[in-house]
This record gives sequence, structure tokens and C-alpha cells, in this order.
Amino acid sequence: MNPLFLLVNGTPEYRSVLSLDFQNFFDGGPNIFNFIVTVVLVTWLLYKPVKKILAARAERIEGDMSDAALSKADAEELKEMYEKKVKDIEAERAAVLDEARKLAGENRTRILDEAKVEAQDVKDRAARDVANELEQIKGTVHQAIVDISTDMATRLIASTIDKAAHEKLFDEAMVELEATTAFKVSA
Amino acid sequence: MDFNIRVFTGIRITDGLEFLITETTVNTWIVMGLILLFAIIVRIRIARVDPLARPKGLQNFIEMCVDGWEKFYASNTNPIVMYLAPWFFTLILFLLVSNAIGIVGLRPPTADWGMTFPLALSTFLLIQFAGVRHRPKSYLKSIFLEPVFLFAPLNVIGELARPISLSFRLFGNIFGGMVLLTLLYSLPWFVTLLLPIPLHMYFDLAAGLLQAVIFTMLSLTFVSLAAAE
Repeated sequence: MNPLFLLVNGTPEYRSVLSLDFQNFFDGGPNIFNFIVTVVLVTWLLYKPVKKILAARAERIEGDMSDAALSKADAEELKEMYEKKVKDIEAERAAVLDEARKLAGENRTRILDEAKVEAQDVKDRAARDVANELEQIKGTVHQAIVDISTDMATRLIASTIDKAAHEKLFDEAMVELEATTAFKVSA
Repeated sequence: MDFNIRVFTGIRITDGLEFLITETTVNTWIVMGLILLFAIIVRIRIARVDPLARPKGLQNFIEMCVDGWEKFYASNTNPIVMYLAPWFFTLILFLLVSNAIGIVGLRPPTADWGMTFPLALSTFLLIQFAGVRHRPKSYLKSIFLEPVFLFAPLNVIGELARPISLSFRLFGNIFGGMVLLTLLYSLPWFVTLLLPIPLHMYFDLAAGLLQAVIFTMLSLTFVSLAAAE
């Protein structure tokens, strides 16, 4: 009878599950063959292609990582260069600052000295002006005193002296004047 | 109710020896078909996408499975037997689907010793192959001369016991679960309304997963130990 016909129509016969006879071992042959076929096909269809994809991706990641490492090295180098530049700029800035401080100090000293000299000049000029003013004031005051004294003396004499005394005094003054003039002429 | 294996047809080879197409054979084909269908779908999807693009969906899932398996395998075995990773990957996949197929009412192929024994025998052959290939002298010495040559018969029996214990452990657990569930379905109908759900979850999925992992882990450990100095 055709085995396929039997397979379709099903002729239920049973084999003991626990019979450890040679037939049972022999039945294992097709089963292990089936399993080996499965192993071959699963390896070919599934396992190796997936591993190939994983390997390709791992390779690409390795490449990316090595690129990243190179980029990192470049970046490190650039960073070092910039840090050096920043250090140089710092040093230059400090030097410029020192120079400026020094220059500013010198200017300050010079300006102060000039200011001191100018102040001294101003002070001297003011002192001289004060002295001149003082002399003028002294002369003015002296003249005022003389004027006032003369005026007072005139008023006193006018109020106290009589005509005889006045004439006597006039005569004495004239004599003195004559004596003084004669002296000056003879001299 | 019959726990024996249904035979669909057979081709007589000699007296008392036939090439049988059993329920196990047909269910193995179904399991193979499911696995290969999945593999073909994955292959088609993989062929369409850019391999260097960010993975998503099914591709992401299968990449996670394969990569996870490679890492797991590498961390549990000797690196010199890495070339056997696809074999054990297929083994655990095959056992997972075989053990879980009972959830749709089919008899798990692993509930037949005629299936589990060849698988365990293949592990036994791989053990011998790995030992003889990677360290022939020390491997043969470990069997026949260690600790002294008098222990050689015990060592040989120990080696031969491995496929027996591996195959019976898997067969017993899956067959036991199948028997329990079959007995459950013979109970009155109202019992079979909800009770099979958690039992199927346990016997087909949880125990199936556990037994698949145990069988695969023991197999790859034996192979790795045989290959290592």
C-alpha cells in the first residue's frame, strides 16, 4: 500500500512508548536526520546571516569608534594649542598690564611733581601779592594817620591857641623854615 | 486513552524492522516546519533591510536572540568549541518548540524516547568528537587511565550513561506532563473547562522551557569539558 495514502487516511496502529527494542532505536534514525536537517537549515537561513549582520555592525561601530578616537585626539591637540594660546595671551596681558602700571606710575609722579612746582609758583606769587598789598595798605594807613593827626592837631590848636600864641608859633615856624632853607641853600 | 505512539505507516525493511512514519515523526516535521518557516521569514526580512541600519521589530528580536545566545554560550563553554554554537542554538530552539507544541493538542516529539535518545546520542558523539579533536591524548587518558587503568570500565560506563540519563530525563518529564494532561481531559467536562489552562502553562511552557534549558546546558557543558584540558 502506498505510504502516502496511509498517511492521509490514517491507519492507527500504535507502537509502545516504552519498548526498548531495536525498532525503537531504529526509529531514532529519521528523527536525528530531521534534527540535523533542521540544524543545517537554521544555521544557513537564520544563524549565519544574523551573525553576519552583527559582525558588519560591530565592524562599523569599531570603525566609528576608531574615527571617534582620532577625532578626540585631534580635539585634544586643538585644545592643548588653544590652552597654550590662552596662556600666552595671559602672559602678554600681564606684561601689558605691568607696563601700563609702570607708565601710569611714572606719569603720576611726573604730574605730581609738575603740580607741586606749579603750586609753589602760585604760592610764591600769592605771597608776593600779599606783601605788595600789605605795603600799599601800610602806606595808605600811614597817610590816613598823618591826615587824621594833622586834622586833629589843627582842630586842637584852633580851639586852644589865641592870636598871640598863634603868631609866636608862626614866627618860630618861619624861623625854623628859614633856618632849614638857609641850611639847604648853603649846603 | 492511549499513551503509545501512533504509527501512520511503515515500510518493511527486514523481518521485525520497519521504517515507521509515527506521530513523533509527523510532529517533528511540524516542529521543523514552524522553525524553518520562522527562519525563512527572518531571512527574507533580513535580506530587505540595510544591515547597518538601526534594527527594529523582528530583526531586532532575532538579533537579540542570536547575540544573547552567542554571549551566553561563550560565557559557559570553552572558546575552542564556539563553532558548535549554531548546533546548540538549534537544539534549544527545537526542544522549546517540541515541548511547547502540546499546548495546541499535538503530542510533543520529546514525549518519545525514540526522539530524545537520538538527540542525547548526538550529544554523546559530540562529546567524543570534541575530546578526541581538541585533546586526543589527555581525553583518552582521562577515560582509560585515570585515576588508574582499573577504573576504565567505570569511566566507560559513566560516558555511556550520559546519553541514557539525558534522554530519559527529558523524555520522562515531557511524557509525564503529557500523561497528566491526558488524564485530566478524561475527567468530566466541567473540570476540563478552566483547569487545563494553568496545567498546560506549567507542563508545556514552564516545564518544557526548563527541560529544554537543562538538556542544552548539560550537553554543552559536557562537550566543553571534554574539549578543555
